[in-house]
Amino acid sequence: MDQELESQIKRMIADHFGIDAERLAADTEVASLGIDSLGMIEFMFEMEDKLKIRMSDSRAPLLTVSDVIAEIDRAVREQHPAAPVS
Amino acid sequence: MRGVCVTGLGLVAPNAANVADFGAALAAGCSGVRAITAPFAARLAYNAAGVVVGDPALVVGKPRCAGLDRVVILALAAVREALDDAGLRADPAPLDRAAVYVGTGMGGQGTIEAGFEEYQLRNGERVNPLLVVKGMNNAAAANIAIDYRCHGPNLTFSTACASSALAIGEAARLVEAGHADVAIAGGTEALLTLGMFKAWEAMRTLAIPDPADPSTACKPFAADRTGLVLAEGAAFVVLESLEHARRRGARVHALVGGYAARNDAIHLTRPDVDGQCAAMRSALADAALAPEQIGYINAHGTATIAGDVAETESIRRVFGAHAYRMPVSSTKSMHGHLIGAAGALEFIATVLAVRDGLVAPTINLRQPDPACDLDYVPNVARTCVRIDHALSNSFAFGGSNAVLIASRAEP
Repeated sequence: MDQELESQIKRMIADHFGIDAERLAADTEVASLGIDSLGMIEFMFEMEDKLKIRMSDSRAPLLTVSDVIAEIDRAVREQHPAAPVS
Repeated sequence: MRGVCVTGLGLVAPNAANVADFGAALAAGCSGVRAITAPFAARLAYNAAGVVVGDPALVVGKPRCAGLDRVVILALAAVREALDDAGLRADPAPLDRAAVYVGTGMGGQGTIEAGFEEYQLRNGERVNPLLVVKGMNNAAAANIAIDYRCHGPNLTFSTACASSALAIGEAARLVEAGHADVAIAGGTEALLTLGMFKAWEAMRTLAIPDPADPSTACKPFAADRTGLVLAEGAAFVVLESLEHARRRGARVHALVGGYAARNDAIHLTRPDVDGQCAAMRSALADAALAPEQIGYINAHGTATIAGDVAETESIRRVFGAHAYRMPVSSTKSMHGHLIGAAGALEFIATVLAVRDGLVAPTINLRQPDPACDLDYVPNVARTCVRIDHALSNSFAFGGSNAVLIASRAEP
């Protein structure tokens, strides 16, 4: 896992939802941050646009911060294997 | 609920063009879900939907269909069958003061999108002058009243997936209270438009169909379910006071045994077990029935990951040990989710359970989910089952929960 990507995603989560980045531990449940499933989908759409990636079709819910980071990381590595995240 | 009966049934659905065909389709486990072939189909991420069979415009008559959105045409076709069934097209006098209660989630969506294309995408200077009256949400109810000269209360309910269940329940209350002898109640939906597909796709709650067999896309309660399948259609019932029905010698399909309307009041989309339990308990109380007296549940059963688990838990909590002795099936597996018309179509399936002893299956249930462990009547219908009371659930976006109970007409 690219540490820089991980910090970047956490910053983007914090900015998007107006949350303190300090609250974003790996095992933090997103629901505990007041984020519901539709809100998370909206955030992931923004990630798709910003990072030029596409989420998988999987219906498995993203329950924790690490689930979210893992899904974005997976998409970036599959779809832009050499490109740095800007 | 006392003294309200069902004297007419009518529908147009993805797996049947009328009530008799619907019963046969349920008995055969027949799916009406398929890939759509509209010009925009190539733009869909998940191409599977319940499309109405046949051409309801032919039932209604092409001249009458001019200036009507599809949602109204479907409604008129279903109402025509229901009124024929009730003997009220032949003898329409009782319709003079009839109430018309219609549920719809999106109303004239096709018309609204066509208008949008005209003024937004083609920069048209003017749109179809009928856009307002074609597209308005009350168009179906208004056109029904016009066609059948119904001067009673004319209401349109828009509560997402509970719309038509609420329409039927509220119409039953109206009849029970003596404010109407006859009510035409049900729902209609025609939302298979590009805009609606894209909107639902964005929520990541639509089923991912197997391209080789899209008819299997809707898998309620199955471990491999992936979401709901949108569908169109219309279903209507004629409700009447028992006294009025007997006086005119009408055939009674079933009694409206009970009804409850509740709201979760907690979240716009997330299913709430407490809210669902309260609704079912409230309907049982309205029917003066113990849980053990329910012989069949037509589940809301949309095949979403969260929804099916929540509903299973709700049924367990309300029915206890009886939950495991009672068949629970989702007919959405065969016809898809008709959104605003779902409650009415599924109420008709519930009426067929008490009238004909037909327990519809949940098809596409090949891989059971351990979290959903009730008897969902997997894949094969059961017939000739004696069912005195059956319950139908509709749990909606916006938190509305509507529960209807149908009871056998003869004791």
